[in-house]
Amino acid sequence: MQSNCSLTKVYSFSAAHRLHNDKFSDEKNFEIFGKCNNLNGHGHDYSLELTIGGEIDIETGMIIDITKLDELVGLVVDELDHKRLDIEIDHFSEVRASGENIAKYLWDKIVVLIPKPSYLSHVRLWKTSENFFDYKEGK
Amino acid sequence: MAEHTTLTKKIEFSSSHRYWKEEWSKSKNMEVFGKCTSKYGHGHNYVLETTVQGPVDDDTGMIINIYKLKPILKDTLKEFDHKFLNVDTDYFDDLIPTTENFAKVLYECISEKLSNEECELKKVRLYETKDLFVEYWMDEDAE
Repeated sequence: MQSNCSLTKVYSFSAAHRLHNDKFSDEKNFEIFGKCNNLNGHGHDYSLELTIGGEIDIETGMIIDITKLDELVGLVVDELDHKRLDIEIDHFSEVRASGENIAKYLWDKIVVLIPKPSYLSHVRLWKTSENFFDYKEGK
Repeated sequence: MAEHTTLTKKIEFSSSHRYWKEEWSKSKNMEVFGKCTSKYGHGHNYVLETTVQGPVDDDTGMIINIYKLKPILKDTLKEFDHKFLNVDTDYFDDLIPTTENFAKVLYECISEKLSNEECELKKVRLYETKDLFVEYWMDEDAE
C-alpha cells in the first residue's frame, strides 16, 4: 500500500472573451459558438482549483508552502483578471479562449513557476457553477 | 470491469492549531509558517469528507448504514472538535498540525475504527477553508 497526499487551493478571476474563428464564416461561427460568439464579448467568474500532489515534507509538515504558491499562481491569475482574453492576452489571439484552452494555458504557465513541477497534478477550471474543465499531464 | 461504489459522509468540526518547530529560531519559524506561528493558536471550521468503499449489500442496498457510520466518525472527531490540536491531543507532539498532517492523522484514526466494519476507508478530504483542502488516500498497488 502506498500513501498519497494532495493539496488543492482555489483561486478566482473574472474575465471576458469571445469565441470566434476568422477561418469560419459568420454563419459557421454562430453555428459552432452560439451566443459565445457575441461580437462584443461576454464574461465569467472563473474559479481555478489547483491540485499539488507529493510527499509531506518532514520538517514543515507541508507538501508545498501555500504562501509561496499563492504568490506564484497570483502572477498568472492576475494577468487574466478583468481582461478581455482574446484581445488583451497574446496567447488567445490565435487560440480560442475556451474553458479547455484556458485550463491548459493555466497548467503550462504554472508548471514552470512552481518549485517542484512534477508535483502539479491537476487543474480544474470552473467557468460557471455548472461547467468545469479538467487538465492534467503525465500519469 | 470491476464495479466500484463509494459513499462519502461530510462532517464539520472546529479546532485550533499553531505551526511551530521548537528546534528552529523564532525568525525561521516566522519565515516558514508566517502568522500560523501565533502563540495561542488560531482556529478553523474544518469540513471532513470521508469516503468509504465496499460491496453494496443486496438486502439493504447500502455499503454501510449511515446511521452506523456517522457515530463512528463523530466518535473519532470527538478527540479533535473544539480542541487546541497542539495541546489537547497527543498526535501533534512531534508533528506540525498542517492540513496535510491532520488529514493523515484523521485517515489513520478512521481507518482503524473501520477495521471491523463491512466497508473500508477509501479517502479523506479535509477542508481547512472553502478554498483549501487536502486529500489523503492509499493505493493498493504501490509502484
